[in-house]
Amino acid sequence: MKILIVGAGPAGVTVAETLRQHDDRVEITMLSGEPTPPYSPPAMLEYFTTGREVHLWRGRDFAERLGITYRAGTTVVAVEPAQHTVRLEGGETLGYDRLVLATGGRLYTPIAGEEKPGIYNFKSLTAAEELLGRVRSGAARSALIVGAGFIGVEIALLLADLGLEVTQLVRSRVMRSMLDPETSQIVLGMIEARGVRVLQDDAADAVAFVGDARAEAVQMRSGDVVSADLLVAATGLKPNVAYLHGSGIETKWGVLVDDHLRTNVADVYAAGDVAETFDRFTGERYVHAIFPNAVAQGRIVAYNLLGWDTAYEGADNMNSLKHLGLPLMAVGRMTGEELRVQRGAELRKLYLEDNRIVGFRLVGDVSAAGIFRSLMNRRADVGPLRHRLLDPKFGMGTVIPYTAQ
Amino acid sequence: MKTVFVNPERCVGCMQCQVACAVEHSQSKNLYQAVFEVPKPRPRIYVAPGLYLNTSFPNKCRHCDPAPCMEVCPTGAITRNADLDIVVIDGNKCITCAMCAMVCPFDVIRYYESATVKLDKTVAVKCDHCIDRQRQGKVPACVEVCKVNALVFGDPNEIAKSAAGRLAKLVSVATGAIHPELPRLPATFEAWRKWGEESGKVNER
Repeated sequence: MKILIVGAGPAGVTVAETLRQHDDRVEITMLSGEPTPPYSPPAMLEYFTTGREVHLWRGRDFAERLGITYRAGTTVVAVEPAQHTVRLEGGETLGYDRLVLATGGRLYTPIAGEEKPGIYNFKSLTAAEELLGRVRSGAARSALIVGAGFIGVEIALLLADLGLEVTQLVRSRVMRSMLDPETSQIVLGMIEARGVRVLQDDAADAVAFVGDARAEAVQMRSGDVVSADLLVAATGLKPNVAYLHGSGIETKWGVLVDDHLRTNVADVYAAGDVAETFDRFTGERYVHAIFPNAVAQGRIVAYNLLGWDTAYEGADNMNSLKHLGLPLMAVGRMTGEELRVQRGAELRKLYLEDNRIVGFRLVGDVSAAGIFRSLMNRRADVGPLRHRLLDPKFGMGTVIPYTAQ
Repeated sequence: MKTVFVNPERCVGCMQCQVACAVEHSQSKNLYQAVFEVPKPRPRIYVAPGLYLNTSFPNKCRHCDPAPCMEVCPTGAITRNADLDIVVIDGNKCITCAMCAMVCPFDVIRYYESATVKLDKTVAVKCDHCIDRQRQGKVPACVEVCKVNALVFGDPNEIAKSAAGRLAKLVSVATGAIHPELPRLPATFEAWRKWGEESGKVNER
């Protein structure tokens, strides 16, 4: 059987590895749009700050070790499910028995002038190398970052550490979709303490990138124009689905998949940031583009390709911020009853609905996070434990005698 | 494959396993020198007070298979040693993203500076099942030091078997003490045995 994997991100790599782990004869071809061996996006920042090649998480010998055909720098322009082929840039066609779409996402910038050259981003290694190249060559001394999500904040901290004068545009509040206002405020204080200048509200309502040939500044709704040597967009992610246009494969925001991660077209699967799956907790359809979801989906696709009927449990809504100086974790929703405790720099917030944990936010100390998440995913009734949940000694010692009853 | 079996009912909360663990993972492997080391050696087993008075629970890595921490590690820093079935973290590859702690249902991963990692920053650290000691044929340090057999090293099937044997013995001794007449065989047994002997004769003929 010939399996063609389009994309060499965490999802694609996991599909290939899992297939090879259980079947040493299946023929695997992997196409990567990047010129490098497979890399791990969450590890890119570390690579740029320390030079450690931790981002090449499966090694430079990935393809030889697994015995797969790896084609770097290859772009798919069309999928033709009726012929079971894909068309590559340059006109070549490749046949497949099963196709896995793992093409990830690209920058999404709903701001006028976003097509102009001179806007940098951190969505791929190539894009990040370009950005860092400008910094290292000394061409950029100041940076303006549009967007204050997890990635926006991490880039701001990275560039500030590299000695740039960094301005960050925060339209409403830092990491609005994942953090509650109080935690958001703590993060804001920490990035300001690290030397990042933050523009907020009206002063940060970017409507257009301006400049003649290249984007050189950002214009706000108020008419203000803010310029910097380096413009960085961290405004969101959009699944790479343009090449599927006309293929008959159903897409909405991302590629629509069922609970076995199959698309509506036979023999075509999708995994990772390109796939529009469902939340394991709420069932809500979305693309939650984080590494653990991509890997989990890759594994499910591989199992189904191997003929083991395996359903996907659903995507996790969670994230953590590494370079803040204090650990920060955000998992699940922020609705229902709020349990809160503050001890010095440590803040813990648990969200309960009907005595069941539906989400939590931890700053400063992340101990017991895994237990909270496990109780949440199991929808365990934590009523009898609720007065102990925020106890500094809450842990397995508390949970084990309770669950053993 | 051998593992550390935890019996929380036996744990008295003395925390000697924590000390033994910290010493084993120190540079000097000597308590008196370890105290002065930088970074300070820390345990990877955590004795936590239980829900009820006088109970405690020694919490450590279960070396799950499949291991959720290993599956979410974005740098491949967490791997399984196939020979000894131990999930180990290579701190030199860790980027402290905390994903492993987020998915560990047993809460056994911590972040701190470790002597074996030359990076001058906090990294994920957890129990390595004393892989160095096991290679020398020794049992893990926490097991060696445990005075009440709350931590036992062995094959899980063997441990479960011996526990079942202990329970059976206890039950038979206990019932014997309560009803001394019980150990005598009831009349029905005699009847069944006779019937068995007779039918055996039929078959043998």
